[in-house]
Formats: sequence, structure tokens, C-alpha cells
Amino acid sequence: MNWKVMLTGLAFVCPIVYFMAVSFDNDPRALDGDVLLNKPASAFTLNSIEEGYKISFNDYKGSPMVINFWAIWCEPCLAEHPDLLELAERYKPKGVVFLGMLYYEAQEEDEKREELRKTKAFLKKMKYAYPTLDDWTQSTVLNYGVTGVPETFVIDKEGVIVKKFVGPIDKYELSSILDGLL
Amino acid sequence: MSFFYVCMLLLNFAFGQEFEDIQIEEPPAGETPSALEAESRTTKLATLIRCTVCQGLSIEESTSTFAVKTRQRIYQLVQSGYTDEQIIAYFVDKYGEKALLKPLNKHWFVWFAPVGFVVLGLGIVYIRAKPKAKTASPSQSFTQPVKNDDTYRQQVLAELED
Repeated sequence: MNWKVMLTGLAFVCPIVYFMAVSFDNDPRALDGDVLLNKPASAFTLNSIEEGYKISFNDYKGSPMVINFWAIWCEPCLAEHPDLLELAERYKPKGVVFLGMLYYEAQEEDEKREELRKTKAFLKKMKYAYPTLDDWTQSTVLNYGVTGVPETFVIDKEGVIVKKFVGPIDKYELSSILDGLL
Repeated sequence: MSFFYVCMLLLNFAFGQEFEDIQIEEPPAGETPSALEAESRTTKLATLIRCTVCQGLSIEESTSTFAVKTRQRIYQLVQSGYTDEQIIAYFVDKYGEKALLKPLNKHWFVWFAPVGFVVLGLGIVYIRAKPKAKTASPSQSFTQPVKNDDTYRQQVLAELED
């Protein structure tokens, strides 16, 4: 047996097999979920859907933040809402800021207004546990690299994104992260 | 299409969202274009960015909500004076390089390595397959006379019979 030929062949074949094995599990179209991790969060100044006041990201610098992008038509968003309320109740007294951010599906003005009306009615029932912001132009949605809802961002005291939940939150994981940021 | 974008801009003004509130950290590096140029550049940029909720479509081709939002955002950025490079960099920063339909030309190794391996392999095959030139055996010396084959054969046969 010619060992040199055998080893040379293995040297070519093994890396190819390795890359194939790794690639089979890789969806080339899937976005990297952690593109924004450890990067500064984008600032914003938006109207709260409760009438009468604006909220600015920079007002909360120095506090950990949880920003939840959601929509009234999104079933998983509504399903995770009680978890967020529970966590807000527990962590707001400790200085964590919770903010909701609207993601609009509608493109026409009157349809967006209808979404907004339904959202207000829902939140009134939930007694507005924390502010929900009206990103009417959806600029903030794109600044946070959001492609769908729900998506939740955890931001530390320095304004850096430390965690992104795509889909409903895991309240135990979020609780653990917030404990670490305090 | 330009009427649509003008309407979106008016809506921005109507609902208190400041158009100047672009929410991008760096200032625009270009000049404010005309409406026609902005629309043309928006269309061109929209063909470069992938609709992340679709299968292989650009945001120019897609009618999804995400695509519409992204086109509006691009138009807003173009109108504000951001260059094409800044806008591409913005989407890569927020969504990663996979947000582009064509990758950035940084991964030269991925493109050239297969060709390189094929060339290397062919080279090895050629070297191994090349016929070896006949050389004199080390035991023979050019100063020694070559034995007659018949005589040599007779000697071998005689030894075998023994």
C-alpha cells in the first residue's frame, strides 16, 4: 500500500467532507441572528401610543432596557405579553426599563390607524404596564434589524445590545440576563 | 411610484415623525438628489438587497410588508443625502452580509480555492503519471563491457541445472 498516495488523498478529501457536513445544516438564506449583538443600540425618539408624550432612548441611558417589538395581529406576541408584564412588574422597581415597539403589517394609512386603534384597546385592557411606542415610519424597526415579530432586545447600562430573542421570549432566560445586568 | 413615495413623505410629516430624524449615527456623505434621481437610486439599491422573508427575491421584486418598509427606508436615506455605499453598509450593519443578494467581494478564498485545488490535483496527477526516463542501473559502469546476452544466458542456465 502506498501510504504517501493514501495520505495525500486523505488530505484532500477530509476537509471537503468536513465542510460538506457543516454546510448541510447551514441555510444560506438564514440571517445571522447575532449581527447586532455587542453593538450599540440605535437611539430613537418616538411618540408613546398613550397620548401626549414622547419617549427618547437617551433618556434611559444608564439603565438596562428591554425593547419588545410586537404587533396586535401577532398571536405569539399576545401569548408572550403576560410574561413580559410579569417581568416588568418584578424588574421595573430595580431600574430596568421596559418598552414596547409597534410593528405595522398594514401599508395603507387607514389600515395602520385600525391596527393602532386595536393596539390601544388591547393595552388599555392590560392597563399600560409599560410604554408602547408608535414607530409609524418603521425606521426603528429597521434600525434594530427586525424582520418579523415578536423580537425582543436586551440592552445593558452602556446602551449595548446583549441579547436578542427571535420569537417569544424565554422568561427564565430573560430573567437570568436581567439579574446579570443589575 | 414617485407619487407613492411623496405620499409616504407627507404621511411622515403629518404624524409628527420628523423626517430629519433619520436615526443613523453617521451624517450623509452625499448631496440631496432630485426626486427622479432618488427614485432611480432607490430602485437600483432595492435590487441589491434581499427580502429576508422571501425566497431569493430582492426587495424591489417582493410585495411583502418587510420589502415595502425597506424600500421606504431606502428612499428616505437617499433623499437625506446618504450615498449608495452608506446605505448598503447600513443594511449590512443591521442585517448582516446575507441581507445582500450578492456577497461583498471579500471572500476571494472561496472563489479561487476550488480552482486552485483542481490545478494542484492535476499537477500531482501529471507528475505521478509522467513516464520515468530510462537510466543506467547503478551496478553497471560505462567502463565495463556489456556481457553478451547469449553467453550470459548460457551461464544462468548452467547454474540452474546445477
